[in-house]
Amino acid sequence: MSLGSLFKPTDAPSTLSLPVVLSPVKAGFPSMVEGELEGTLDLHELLITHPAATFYVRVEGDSMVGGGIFPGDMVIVNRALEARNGDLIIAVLDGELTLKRFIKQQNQVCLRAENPDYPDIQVTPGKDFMIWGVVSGCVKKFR
Amino acid sequence: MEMVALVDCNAFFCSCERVFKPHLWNKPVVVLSSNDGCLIALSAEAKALGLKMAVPYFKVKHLIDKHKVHVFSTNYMLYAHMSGRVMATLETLVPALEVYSIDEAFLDFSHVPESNRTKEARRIQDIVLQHTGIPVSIGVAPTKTLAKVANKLAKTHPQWNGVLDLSRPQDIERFLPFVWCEDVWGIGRASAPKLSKYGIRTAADLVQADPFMIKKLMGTVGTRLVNELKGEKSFPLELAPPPAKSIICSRSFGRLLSQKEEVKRALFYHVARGGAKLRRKKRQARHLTIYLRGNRFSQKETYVSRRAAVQLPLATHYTPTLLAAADHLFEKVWQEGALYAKAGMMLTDLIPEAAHPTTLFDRRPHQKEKALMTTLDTLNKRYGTGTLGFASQLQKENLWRAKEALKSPNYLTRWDEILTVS
Repeated sequence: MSLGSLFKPTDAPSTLSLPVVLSPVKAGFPSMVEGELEGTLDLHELLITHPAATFYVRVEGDSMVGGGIFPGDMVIVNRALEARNGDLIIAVLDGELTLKRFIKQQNQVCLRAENPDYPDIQVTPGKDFMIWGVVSGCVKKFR
Repeated sequence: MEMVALVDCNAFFCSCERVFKPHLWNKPVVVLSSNDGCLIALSAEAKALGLKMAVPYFKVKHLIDKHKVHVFSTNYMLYAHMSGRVMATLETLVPALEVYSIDEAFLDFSHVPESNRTKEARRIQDIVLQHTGIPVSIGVAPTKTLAKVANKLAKTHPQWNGVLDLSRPQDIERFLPFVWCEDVWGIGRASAPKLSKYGIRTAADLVQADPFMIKKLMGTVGTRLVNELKGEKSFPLELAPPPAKSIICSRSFGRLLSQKEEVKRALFYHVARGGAKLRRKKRQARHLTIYLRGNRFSQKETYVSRRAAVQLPLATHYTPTLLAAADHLFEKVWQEGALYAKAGMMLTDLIPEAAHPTTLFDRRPHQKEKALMTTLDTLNKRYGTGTLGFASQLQKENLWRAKEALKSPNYLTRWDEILTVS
C-alpha cells in the first residue's frame, strides 16, 4: 500500500458497493437494462443467514481432510441451526471443541472424522457432549 | 395487559469467556477490571467460594490460586460484541425492547397471553443460549421495578431455572416480603438504613408504608418506585436509548508515577480517546474536566486528588483543541513531589455535532479539522488504536495502557485471533 492511499481520508463503508442507476437515459443507445440495476453481490449475504448466531472458526489439524477441510481453512458456524444427521458440527466433547461429522441413527450419536487415522467417537449417555454449532460453510484462500 | 420482562445475562463477562472455552462451563471464573485491578465479574461458582465484586485482585489472589479460579483480564471489545448479539437475538423475538445496559434488556411482553408467560420466557431463554451461548435469567411483571425483583428472585433460586413470572397480584404479594429494600431497583445502600429506622425493611413494608412518609424520605422518585412495586407503571419502556450525556476516559497507571511528563502523557492519551469517542457518537463537547489521583489504599503517602475544569469557548470534538485545553488545566493542577495512581478526563455538556459554524465568531477551519480527524480515526480503526496519535500523547512504554496479562483473544473482531478448533 502506498503512503498516498494510506493518508487519504475516507468515509467509505467497509463493503465495496457499486452505484445504482435509478433513471436510465432515454436518448442514445437503447439500454439493455430496464428499470433499476440491482445492488452488488455480497458474499456476506450468501454465507451468513443469522449474523448474531454466526461465528468464524479456524481449523487446525487434519482430521477432516477427507471432507475437503484442511488445516488453515475457516469454517462458518451457525448456532441457530438444528443439527441434522450428516451435518458438519462443532461439538463440545468433555469440554473440548472439535470439528466432526454428526451421525445420528435411531438414538445413537456418533462423531466421525474424515480421515482413516481417526476412529469414530460413539457418544454414550455418560459422555459430556454438546453441539456448539452447525458448520454452514467453509472459506478457503488460495493466494 | 401491559407487561414487561427483564432479561439479564448471567455473570455476563464470565459467560462471554466461557462461550469460547467450554471446559470452563461449571468452573469458577472471574474477570478483572482494566489494569487487572479489581474483580468486576464472578461466575456463580466463584461467588460460592466467597469471592465478591469490586474487591482488589491482590487481596484475594491467595483464594483464587488455592481454588484454581480461572482469571481473565477484561476484554471489553468481546463483551460489547457479544452484548450486541444477545440484543439482536432478543429483537427478533419481541415487538419492542429497551436495551438497559450491556447485559440487561426490558422486553415488551404485553402481547403474551397470561397462561403462556413462563413458557414464552423459557423459549426466549433457550433461543438466546443456543444462538449466542449466553445464559440469561428472565423476570416477568407488570412494571420494570417488579420485573427487576422477579429477575433477581429467578436468579437466586435455582429451582426456577432462571425464569419467574411475577405478573399475578397474589404472587407479587407472596414474594415481596422476601425482597430487602436495598435490593429494590433504585433504592440502594444509601436509602436503606434511613428506611430501616422507620421499620421499613422489605419491599412489602415499602408497599404498606404511609405514602407521605415515603415522599418525605425518598422524594418523588421514591413515590414512583413504590407505585411500581404496587404494579402501577411509573417508568415506561424507553425504546430509543437516551443520547450520551458525558464521556469519561480514565485508568489507573498500574504503578505510581511522579514524573510530570509521564502523568501528562497518560492524561493526553485519555483526552485523545475521549475526542475519538465524541466523534464516533457525532457529538461535540462544551465542557472538559481533568483529574489526577493518588493511591487511595496507600498508608505511606498522603492521598492527592486534583481536579480542574474548563468551559470551552466553542463546542468541539477536535482533538488538538481538547489537548490544548487539557494542557492548560494540567499545568493548573500539577503538584510536584506527589505520587499519582490515576489520571482521567470527562467531557460534558454534549451537543450534536455541527458541520458548519454556528456563531459569527467561529472562524475555525471546519473542513480541514474534519479531514484530519477522519484520517486519524480511520487509521486507528483499521490498524488498531494507537496507530496514529499526537506526539504529546505517545511514548515508548505503555505505562498507563491496560495491563492485560490474562486477556482472551479478540474472537469476534480480529481475523488472526478467531477461535481455533481441531
